[in-house]
Amino acid sequence: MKWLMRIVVVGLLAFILWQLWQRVFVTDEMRVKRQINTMTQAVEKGQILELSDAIANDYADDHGMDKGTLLAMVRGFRAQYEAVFIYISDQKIEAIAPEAREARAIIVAKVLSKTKGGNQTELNADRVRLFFRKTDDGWKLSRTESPELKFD
Amino acid sequence: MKGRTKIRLAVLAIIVGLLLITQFIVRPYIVAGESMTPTLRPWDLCFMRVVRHCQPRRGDIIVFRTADDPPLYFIKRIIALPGETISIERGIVNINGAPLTEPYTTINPSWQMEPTPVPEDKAFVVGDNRDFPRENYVLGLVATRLIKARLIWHWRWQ
Repeated sequence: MKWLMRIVVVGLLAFILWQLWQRVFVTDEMRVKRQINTMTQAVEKGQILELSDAIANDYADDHGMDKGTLLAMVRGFRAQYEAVFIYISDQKIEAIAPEAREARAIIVAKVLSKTKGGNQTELNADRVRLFFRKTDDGWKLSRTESPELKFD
Repeated sequence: MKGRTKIRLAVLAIIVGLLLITQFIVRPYIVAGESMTPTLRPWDLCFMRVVRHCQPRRGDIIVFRTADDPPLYFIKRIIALPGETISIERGIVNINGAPLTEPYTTINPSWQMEPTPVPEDKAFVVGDNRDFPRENYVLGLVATRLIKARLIWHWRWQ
């Protein structure tokens, strides 16, 4: 029984240390980055519930979509393809103001998708600006913009 | 020097050499999207000569970046040079009022554009695929300082 107690104590200590590490050393930018990774994986695997958890209820974007329509669009997109791989090639994350509980991320996403029943693979790249809001549940995506590209 | 050390040094030298070549001389790119079809198709592997200060040449296929941070990269063809005036009438490109011969593309009569002067520090770029509405994809004036590379050779996987 002694060894079991030791494992429990070590596990508990590790958990407490991990929580402390998260609170002291993990910056908001890192949390947002982690949230972007979670959302990317959710889209790749078609896990709509997980994606829904990462999006604020009052989500809005410059295409006029709310949370419901965004999730429906992702579900439709995912149903169209057998496999999707998203590679975030560049990302720039900054807290808009530390006390404002808001963060902005600009990402370049490269999307590799394989159509169902065929062996055609598509590759697309897009630049998107994401806004996150800090809630009691962590960082949530609150707005998305596709900024106009600059050529001069 | 031992044989194994020699091999390690050789591998390191090759890696450093390749990094320097791709940074300063020739850079590989994979084509995404259909905008350069039929000349370049999605997934074509392009070897592009890195350019520092681009002197635009008509017909060159180039890679340019947007002025955003982080940027997006596009591959297009230069069709009008600094100081020229470009217009499109029923799909036919006119440079300074004279029609441009474009054997690499098909004419889309729905394409129209008013005469547009190309400023000295810019070039006018467009994709070879004109099969869809002009408004639907990136084309137009690009600052020459944003041009990063020029196509020298491309290879199709299939």
